[in-house]
Amino acid sequence: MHKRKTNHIAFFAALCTFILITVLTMVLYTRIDFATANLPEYLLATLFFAGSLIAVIVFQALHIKDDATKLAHGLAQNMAKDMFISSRELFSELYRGSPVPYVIITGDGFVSSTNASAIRLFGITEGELDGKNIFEYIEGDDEVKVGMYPEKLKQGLFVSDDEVRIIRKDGKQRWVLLSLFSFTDNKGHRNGLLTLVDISKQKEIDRAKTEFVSLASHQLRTPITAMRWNMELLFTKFGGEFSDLEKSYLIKVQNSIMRMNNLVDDFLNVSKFELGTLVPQKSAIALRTFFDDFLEEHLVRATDRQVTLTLNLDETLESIITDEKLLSMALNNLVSNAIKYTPEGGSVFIDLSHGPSTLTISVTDTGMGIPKDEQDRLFTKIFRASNAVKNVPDGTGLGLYIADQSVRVLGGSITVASEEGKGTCFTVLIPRN
Amino acid sequence: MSIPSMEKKKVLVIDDEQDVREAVVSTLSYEGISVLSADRGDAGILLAEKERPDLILLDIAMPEKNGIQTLAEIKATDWGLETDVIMMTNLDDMEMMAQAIQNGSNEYVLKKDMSIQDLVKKVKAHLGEL
Repeated sequence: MHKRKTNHIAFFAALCTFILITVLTMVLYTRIDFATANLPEYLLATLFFAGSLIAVIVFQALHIKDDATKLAHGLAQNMAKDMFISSRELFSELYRGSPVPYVIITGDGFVSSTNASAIRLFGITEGELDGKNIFEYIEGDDEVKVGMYPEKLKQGLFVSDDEVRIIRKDGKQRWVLLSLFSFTDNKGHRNGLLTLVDISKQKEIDRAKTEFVSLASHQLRTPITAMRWNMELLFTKFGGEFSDLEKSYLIKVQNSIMRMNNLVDDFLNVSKFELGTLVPQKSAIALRTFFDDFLEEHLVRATDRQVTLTLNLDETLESIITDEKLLSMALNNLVSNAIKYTPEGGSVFIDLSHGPSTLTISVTDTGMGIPKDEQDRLFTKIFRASNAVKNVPDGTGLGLYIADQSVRVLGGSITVASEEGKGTCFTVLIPRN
Repeated sequence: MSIPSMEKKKVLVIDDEQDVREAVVSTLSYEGISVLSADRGDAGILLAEKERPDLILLDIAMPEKNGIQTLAEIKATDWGLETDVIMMTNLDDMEMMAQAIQNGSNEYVLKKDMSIQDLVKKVKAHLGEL
């Protein structure tokens, strides 16, 4: 402020000098008799005037420039001062006190810092995790995905909201939503910031819901068995005494009981996949016997719907080692869907082929197909394609989820190729051992 | 309706669910097999000790004494060792199945997967009458 005032005084002095010189010059001009005056007098007067004018202009220009530089410098300094100090404090305060657990790691995944929330999450004391490889404390159902984190960090790629488990100091595990991004420090080294949002509570609620579905479904099994067996007993003992109309009513009841039985099975299977309680029980399976039985089971429905069902067995492969129940669960869903969504007169083909360590089973139909933009959601729970919902109202949207999950437990995968109105081909790839 | 050769063979059904138990009893009787029944594990053991059935159909999820405990007690007796036991349950559970086999059951069947005629076939096979 003080400097600016002095600058103004200097400017005012310069202006006064300029006016004084101008007045003096004008007086000098008027004093010169232009008729008699000689050249040196003219020159002297003009030079004096021009010189003073230039001096004032230069002085002003220099002064303005100086002032602008000073102003800009001051402003930048003030801005830098305000932003730098407060942002540093603000960010370190946010980092320290945030309810979200943060872990800063080096480019190789070694912990360099943990905030208070992270310390609580891991059940450690401050600095206890420093220098340790963070990836040794992270686990996930999708091992491949988790295994990619160090590589992603090195390449500077983001990880966003992955559901993983962290291992605490006490050995317990917590479900967290992991995000990871990398940044370069001022020495040019790559670092990573991990955020680990605790979702254990949400997982518990989710699990409680699944357990309830499991329990409820289980409780339904006993009355369903009682209904089925007593209905069967009724037919065995008195079948001959019913009129055709009476029989048709009873058959409807019997079919509905079977549908309920299958629904309960689906609900229980879904809960088993969600709770992760399904452990594959592998044994050698003779493919010829397995598929002959399988075909026999589905031929009834295929014939009912006037759909031809054809099996092309790979005769060069006799048996595989897998979980028979899970395999038939997957194939049952694929084949019964194929029959269900193929119009009268259509065909369903089951083809087998094998590689050195894999068996490929494809189920191809000439049915209604699946819209292209819906194919990526096909294996999600309770999803049904729009044309399926429209044309075949009866369905839970659990079949393909169960098929996909079963094949996953077997260590395989399912892929789909489909064109609306032409048909669909599901390809199951499973290990032979 | 009864088949003479079956008359000496006896089957005991132990299941707490009356509607299921009675359906099994009625069907097996109808097929000419002599059937006894009990609604609890303890009552079943007492009846088995007295009647010495050839085959026991044993439920698992029962109040008081469950099927696995009942099985263990049966198999701890001399007569029990010579009696076939089919675990007949709706518990589709690998661990339970392993326990049943460990305790000496001959077979583990799921009611949900069977028609009652399938059960009749199994019973006849165990009695050596098929």
